[in-house]
Amino acid sequence: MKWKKIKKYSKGYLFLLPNFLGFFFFMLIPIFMGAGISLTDYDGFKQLNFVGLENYINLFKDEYFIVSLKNNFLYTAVTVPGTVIIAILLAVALNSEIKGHQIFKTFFFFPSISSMVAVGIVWAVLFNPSRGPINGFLEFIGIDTPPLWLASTDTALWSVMIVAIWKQVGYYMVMVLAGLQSIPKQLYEAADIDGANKVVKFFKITLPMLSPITFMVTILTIISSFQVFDLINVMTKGGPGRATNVLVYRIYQEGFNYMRYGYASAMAYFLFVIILIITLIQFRGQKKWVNYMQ
Amino acid sequence: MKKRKVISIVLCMAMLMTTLNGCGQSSEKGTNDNSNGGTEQENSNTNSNEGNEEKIQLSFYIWQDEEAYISDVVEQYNVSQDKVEVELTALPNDEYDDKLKVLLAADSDVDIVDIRGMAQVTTYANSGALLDITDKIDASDLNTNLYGEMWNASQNDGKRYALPTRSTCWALFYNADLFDEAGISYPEQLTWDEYGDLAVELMDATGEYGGYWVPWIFPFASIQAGKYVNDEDTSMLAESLQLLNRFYNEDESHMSYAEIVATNPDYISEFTSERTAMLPNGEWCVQMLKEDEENGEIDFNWQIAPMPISEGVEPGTTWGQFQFAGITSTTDYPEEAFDFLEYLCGEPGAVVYSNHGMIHAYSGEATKDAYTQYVGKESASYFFEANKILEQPNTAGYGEVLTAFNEHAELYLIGEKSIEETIEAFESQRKSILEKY
Repeated sequence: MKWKKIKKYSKGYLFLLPNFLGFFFFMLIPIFMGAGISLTDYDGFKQLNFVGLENYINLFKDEYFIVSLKNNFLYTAVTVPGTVIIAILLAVALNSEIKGHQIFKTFFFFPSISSMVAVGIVWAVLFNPSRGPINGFLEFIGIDTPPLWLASTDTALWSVMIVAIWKQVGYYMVMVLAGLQSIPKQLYEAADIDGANKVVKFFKITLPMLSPITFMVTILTIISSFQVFDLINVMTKGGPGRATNVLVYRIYQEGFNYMRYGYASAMAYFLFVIILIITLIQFRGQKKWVNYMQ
Repeated sequence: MKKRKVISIVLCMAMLMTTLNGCGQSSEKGTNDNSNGGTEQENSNTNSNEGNEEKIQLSFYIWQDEEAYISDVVEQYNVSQDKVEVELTALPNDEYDDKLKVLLAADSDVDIVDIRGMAQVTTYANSGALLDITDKIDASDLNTNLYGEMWNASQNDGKRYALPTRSTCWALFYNADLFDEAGISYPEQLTWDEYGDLAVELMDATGEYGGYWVPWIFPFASIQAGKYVNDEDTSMLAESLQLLNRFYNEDESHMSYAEIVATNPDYISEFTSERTAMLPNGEWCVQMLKEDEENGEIDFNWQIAPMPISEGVEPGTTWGQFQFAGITSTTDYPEEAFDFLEYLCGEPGAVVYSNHGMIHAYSGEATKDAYTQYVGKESASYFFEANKILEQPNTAGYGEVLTAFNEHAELYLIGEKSIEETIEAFESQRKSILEKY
């Protein structure tokens, strides 16, 4: 009986195998090795001593790590709501069959398929404090001291966050659009009969019905916000000073520039714990607001 | 209900795995990329003679910029050998340092590696990845005097783990046509203050920037005085930064640091498009400028002047560094590998480098003549006459201290911190960094 079952599913497993092998060798094993390395002072070469939890304790004494942690939390706190709200608003607007909505959809999706390097360079030109078009416009409308954008510790992280939202919003907009299209028309019709206006319909029907998608999008954006690296690497290299240094960039610096792989792995595992906690809280919280219509 | 909970937890875990994969990538990706990238490059870049299977194969990794001349050296060497064959693999410039670390850490099948600068030689030597070749050098025919002053500093506790291939050397490049237009005489040995005045004069006369200072070398005056960022005395560091602040922000004779950070301009284009009259930079600019000339992209008269100095520093002093090649400690053919190294870092390599407009580290008269002839400018002889101070010392932890210095310097140069605050913050951070070493 059991053998028969295995035989029945074997083709399926065979199809899964290539992907699973890749996952197993290039993810699962490194994940466990990373955990082991985080308890050592491994330098990538010969030095490999067990140091217990020392790396984890040092994290909290490391002023530099704490700066990058703070930056990362701010980055998450701004880009996640920013992306989710704008994605929903854009999707709702495009779902209303306004003229040219197909073209707009393509426009908004464009940034997500553009190369990060190109995006970083183009935005750097736009952000140029003295010759860039953004400040040119701000000066034109009468702002005498426009922000210095990437060239100031006060605004550099905000500049990166603006670009991040702009870059990813189109991608999540498409997800939300798919969610919108699955909302049964009857709900709106019933609301029309009851005389509800557009705003009421948005808050009482659209948002609750979208909540499973919103939930997923929120989790995905949170996770990606803790992974941010490429944008920082292209636009600021963590500067000016340490103003835009974030967790993964810091991990990269410790691991690759200073070859403290043990310490870098400990940071990576700390990051893992942060995301685990946030995600668990969200799964807890979802009962209160996510509506699966069941 | 229960079932859904289980599914959602599984989903959650799956997402976390993906996340972890993301972070894992930052420490692991080198390995993966490397195996792919490496093989591809290898296929396209090897100079292999198929069919000679008895030959000993030596694998030599370099970064792409070095391919033009090193491949010539390798080709010549391979022709001269019947038992050994060197296989060249060029990796992308930006990724080379990271990939090299992974290669060395993974005990890969590499025999010879190209190494950027002394700091990295030190790192690899301390981690046991490089072969100690001190005795081999002593027993060889190399005349190490020809490596000049910087050779003395290119060792770790009296041991040598690499030989220098070429030498970088900083000088003051200037656009002689812009000087003529402004009616200002050409610069000779200046002090940094005179350089600052000159930049202002040029700016006032031409309406273009007087100079362009690249955003990656801040402690220059300190290096010229032989004091690195890990030196107890930070007065010269402060002086370097104050000079830069003058050029960038006070006189505005150079594109401001804030603007450089924001726009990341290409320094050589700033010079070739005649938007700046002077460019203190390295000898590699010669090759770039020659190339632009040959392509008809520039037609102005550019010249080379001695690097300006601070008061009290010996005239002709500048800075530079060696690029190195070393043998891995895991090689099966140390003798053969050293034989090639001697070829690359000795007279035969030097001739090939000069013909490509590069300054080889083994700089005898012949090298100098070949080089100045290639450049076609008398002023290029400066590179051979200058008193070069090694840009990076071989001290452990230097790289990390330098990064910290640059971060603090940045805040000063964009006007967010005073010089006193900058130096104070840097000193306290330096202390905690050096405790780790």
